[in-house]
Amino acid sequence: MTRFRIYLLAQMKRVKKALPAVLIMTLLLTGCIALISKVMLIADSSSEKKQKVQIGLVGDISGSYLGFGISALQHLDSSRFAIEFIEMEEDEARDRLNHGTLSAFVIVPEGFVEAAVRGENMPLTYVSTAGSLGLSSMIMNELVNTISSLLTESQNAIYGMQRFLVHNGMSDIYWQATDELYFRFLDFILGRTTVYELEITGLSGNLSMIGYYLCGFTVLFLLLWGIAGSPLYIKRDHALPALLSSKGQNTFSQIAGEFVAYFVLMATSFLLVIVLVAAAMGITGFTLPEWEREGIGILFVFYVKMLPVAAVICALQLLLFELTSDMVSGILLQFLCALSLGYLSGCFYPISFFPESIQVVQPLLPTGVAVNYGGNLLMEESTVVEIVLLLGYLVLFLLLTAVVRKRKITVNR
Amino acid sequence: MNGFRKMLLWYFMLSKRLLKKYTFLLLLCAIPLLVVGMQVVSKQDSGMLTIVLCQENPEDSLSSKIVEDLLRNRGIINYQVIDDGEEAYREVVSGRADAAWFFPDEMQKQLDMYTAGNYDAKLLHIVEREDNVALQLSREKLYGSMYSHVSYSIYRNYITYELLDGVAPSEDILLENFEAARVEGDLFEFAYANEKDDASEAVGESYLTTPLRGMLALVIVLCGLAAAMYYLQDERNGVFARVPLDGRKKYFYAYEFTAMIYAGIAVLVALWCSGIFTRAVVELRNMALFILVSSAFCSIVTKLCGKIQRLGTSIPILMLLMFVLCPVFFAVKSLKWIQYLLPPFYYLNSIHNDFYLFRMLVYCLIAVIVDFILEKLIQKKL
Repeated sequence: MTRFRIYLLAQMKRVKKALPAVLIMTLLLTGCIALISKVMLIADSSSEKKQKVQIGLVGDISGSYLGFGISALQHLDSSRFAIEFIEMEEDEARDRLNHGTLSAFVIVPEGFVEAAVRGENMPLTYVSTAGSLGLSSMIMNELVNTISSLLTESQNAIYGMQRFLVHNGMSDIYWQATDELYFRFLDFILGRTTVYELEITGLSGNLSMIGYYLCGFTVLFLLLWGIAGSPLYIKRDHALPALLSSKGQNTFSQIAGEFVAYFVLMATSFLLVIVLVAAAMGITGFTLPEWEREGIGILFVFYVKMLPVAAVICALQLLLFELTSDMVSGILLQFLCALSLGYLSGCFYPISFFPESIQVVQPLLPTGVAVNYGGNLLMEESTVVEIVLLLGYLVLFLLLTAVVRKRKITVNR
Repeated sequence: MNGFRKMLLWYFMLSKRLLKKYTFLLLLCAIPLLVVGMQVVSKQDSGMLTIVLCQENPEDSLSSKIVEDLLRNRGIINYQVIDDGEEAYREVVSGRADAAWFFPDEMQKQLDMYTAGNYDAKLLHIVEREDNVALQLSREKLYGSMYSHVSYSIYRNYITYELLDGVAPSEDILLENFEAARVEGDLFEFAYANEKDDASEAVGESYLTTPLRGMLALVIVLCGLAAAMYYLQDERNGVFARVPLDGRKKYFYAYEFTAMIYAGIAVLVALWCSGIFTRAVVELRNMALFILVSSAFCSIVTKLCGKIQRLGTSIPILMLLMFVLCPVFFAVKSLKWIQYLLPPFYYLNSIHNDFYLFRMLVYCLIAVIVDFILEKLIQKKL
């Protein structure tokens, strides 16, 4: 026991030395997470402040139904909060698309209006950038398909009505009827929200999206934070552990000492983040839907209750440090584990986005248990199963770390 | 020339040092394996939203057509068909589904009433737990699926009530005129700014694998930063004690290239496995330049941090910044000045946009100059 206490003290001193740099890193890391949250919240907001998708319009649409329709979309439709159309020349549009200040542009071909009058469809070209724009471009493509369907079906009806007029000797009211029907369509498209009756049930015991991301980001923060511990815990040789072992300090006692010190370091950093978040919540008045009736103190209760998660991630990271013996592999392993576990546990995308097979695996992963545990805490539901699983993982990781250390010491001898 | 040969020699020695450690090799192999895993997962049924479709009468012709159309064009939504209304409602309330769309019986009748101007006759009942942008977009998609029926109904009502004063022509005549005037084809055709890209390739893309290239690019930068720490560790242990300060730069780059070239090969294999590999020339050219840019970036970061502990602590921050500000998950339009400092921003954009390749080249030159100036400043200080 005395040996353990001495070793623990030595480890604490080591950690204390690293603490200022780690705390500065934590401050910056928190800033980054705040930035992520801000970006996510802007993307999810449906107000005027929201970051709009800018679409360029190339070609002459003035005096046409299309031009009038787009003007109506920009001023009257609910989509005006999300999409902004800007008329411009093709060169400017290409340039802005290249610079990333435009999401896409639409080329209206010459003669489009005349062709439309003749009842022909000259396709509009929707130009975007391929590949790396990911989710947002996929959503935009879905929207474009919907818009295409709205416009084409309206055209079909208007042309059908025009044909009916011609074949039934009513050509004298041809343009008057066309205008009337056109405006009727515009009316229906702009008033499309009246088609359905919307009932919002409220969260009623379910986790809000913001609440979900709080849990996801907490776990992701703890996972990524581990990379900072690499210079402290990646051992190139095991001469010292071997020496300690030969003097009677067994490997589990060594691991336990390192774990406690590392946990204190992580818990201190985590506390700093909580203090910053509490301050930000106090200043902005922002809170989670789950905490609407609670004061700032609830954050500190959340912190204390999340400490078992921090402990499990600490143990997991110690195991990963122990598995490697050089800096490059150590950091790469930490990052790949953070990435894959974070991805599969729903830290990037909510787990409901994934196929059923992943949804079955997620609650069994240590980080999946951690995310679900956080969710249950927010919803004030029972966390007994998650606590048992977290405890099991904690013991398992510490034992595995001790086994790996023992093996390395044996090889070293 | 001598310096180059020395750098090459160091490259081989460091390669030997890295590759003899089985963990490094295993990790490199794990990269393509993880990607293949993601690819398998993305092929299974999934959606950004789970929406329950519930018909009051499953035999109803119009609602069945709409449901069939929605199921055929799933896109990024995962639909579940449930006939029992109460069960559908429970799915939403319990959080297992994001929304439920209830289709009434005799929907055609309701639709005709609606298009005749009776807006109180709601066509659908939608239940959601909380409203957000994704659900608003899903409702646009629903309206798009219904719209062909809405437009026909508006057309019929207009002819019947506005043109013929309530004397409905036969359905055959109405249909004949509607179909005869039908405009063929889509109103929009998709194209990419870079004409060499094929827009039809995007059809099979899954949102689960779209961040793949971004994540892999971060692995390369991470390897560069890890190699920099490796170098600092060796420097601290006196490996370069006999090398003069101004001659150490080449060794640093040898460390960088050693780690990043192997990671680059693993990433290219992973891209090939994932099916998002474009053309060999483009991939190899851009990867080579990206490695060059990233090594200069890592060199600057190393000099700014100075100590191994500081560099280690800066890695999570840099990674997180790159995750958010480079187009890994989505393109962020704000904070451009930070984006311009991050190498993956140029690499990810340059794959489909040669303009960014040129920018990456300029960035590389600037980074090398800044690195050189920093080197001189540090030497002067010492």
